[in-house]
Amino acid sequence: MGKISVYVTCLFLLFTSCDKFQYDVYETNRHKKDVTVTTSYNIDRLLHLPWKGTLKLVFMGDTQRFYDDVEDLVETVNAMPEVDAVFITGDIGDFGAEFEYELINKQLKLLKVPFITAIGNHDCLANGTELYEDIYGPLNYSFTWNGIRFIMHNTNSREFNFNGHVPDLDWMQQQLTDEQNFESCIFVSHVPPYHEDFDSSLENAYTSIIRNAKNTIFSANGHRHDFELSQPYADSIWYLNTSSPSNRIFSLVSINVSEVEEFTCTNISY
Amino acid sequence: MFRKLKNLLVLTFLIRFSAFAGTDSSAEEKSNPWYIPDGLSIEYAGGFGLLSGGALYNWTKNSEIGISVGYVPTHYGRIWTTNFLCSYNLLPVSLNKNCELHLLKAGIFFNFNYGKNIYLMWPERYPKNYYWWNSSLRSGPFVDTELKVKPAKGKFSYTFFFQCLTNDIYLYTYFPNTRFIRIWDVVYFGAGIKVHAGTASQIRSRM
Repeated sequence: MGKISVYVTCLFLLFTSCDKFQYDVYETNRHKKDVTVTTSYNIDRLLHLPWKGTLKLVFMGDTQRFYDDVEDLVETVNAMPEVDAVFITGDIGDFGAEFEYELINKQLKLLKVPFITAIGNHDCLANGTELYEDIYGPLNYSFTWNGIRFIMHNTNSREFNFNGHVPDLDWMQQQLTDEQNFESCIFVSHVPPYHEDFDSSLENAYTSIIRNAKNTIFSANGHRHDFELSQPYADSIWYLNTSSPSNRIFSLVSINVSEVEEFTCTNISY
Repeated sequence: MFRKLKNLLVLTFLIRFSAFAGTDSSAEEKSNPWYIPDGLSIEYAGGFGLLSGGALYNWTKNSEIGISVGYVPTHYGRIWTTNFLCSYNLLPVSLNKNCELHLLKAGIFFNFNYGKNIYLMWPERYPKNYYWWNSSLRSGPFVDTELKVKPAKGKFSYTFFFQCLTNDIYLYTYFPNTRFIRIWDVVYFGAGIKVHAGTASQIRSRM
């Protein structure tokens, strides 16, 4: 009996300790926690970077299922010492399944610079929202770096059944009230406001917040997989739509911190 | 619901067991209705839940059909599953009169998931074909290795099995990314016990 107990205990420990024993495709809380991929850790890294007159930021999105391409992107960005940070405009995974985040995080962790994420519609599928919060952090968050207030937020209205609270306009307003603490703004989210997946009842109020914020530099979105830099509302506000790694292009944005409204955007092929 | 399910399983098992009670039960065995299972199984993981349990049917001499229900607790996502497995015993090896090794069983499974934001039919808020896959239904291939043991005493046989699986969305992710993703990244395991009723000779004849 004693031997059997030992065998049973050993088997139990083997089964429960090995994460290859998967409970479900859409399981949560089974991955090994990794602080280095969290939003708070990466913001902390950003804030400790030495001050530079010109910021060089990589913008890309929709990494979903394009792992081989992301691997090359990481290699390319790592070979560019001038880059300060990578911004990912959502759709990090495709199915809202935990294994996708384990795979992509293996790659993003290899970036030499901090990476900052926004949540995409695919990241909201199944238990994806819980996974996102658990792995990276809040769906809406903001931080100030080199005088720029970054508003990272959830615009995946369709996934929340156009409930009138996505994007959360009250929250966005609150992030912009302390104008003495920042000089300019960059908005980053997944679904652009002119897209049919954005809650059209909030479009006017949303674009008005972006327009009236203190020195908006641009708003960055993903979702469409193709690069576009345009002013769709004829209000002098630039909307940058980032390319997916499947197109093997990312956008390198240079921002002169002393002349904050000025930025240049270059597409880098790899 | 649990009590009903339990009662059903116990009842079907008792009927099956009674069929093996006599010394020569082949006639009685044939008289059993088709829905009386040949065995029961309980499995840990395998993508079918933290635990899943269900009935087993011997289709032909070397093929088996399994139907099970599984559950993932709230902490791990709160998901119910119903599962259909069909496998064929490719390499049965008789070790001795009480043990049989099924070195390689291969099969396919269909696994329905029920939980928050998991849909058999995408809700109306999505235009047609907005997402191409069915978020509830997963299917895929699997292989099993089993050790079937019939103790000298007692009227049950016990089959310990180890299962290695993958599924449609894992493969869909894997094939365009074979440089970065290794096969190891897209397989997962399950393990469990199957119980069959019957004497050693009956079990062997049914294997």
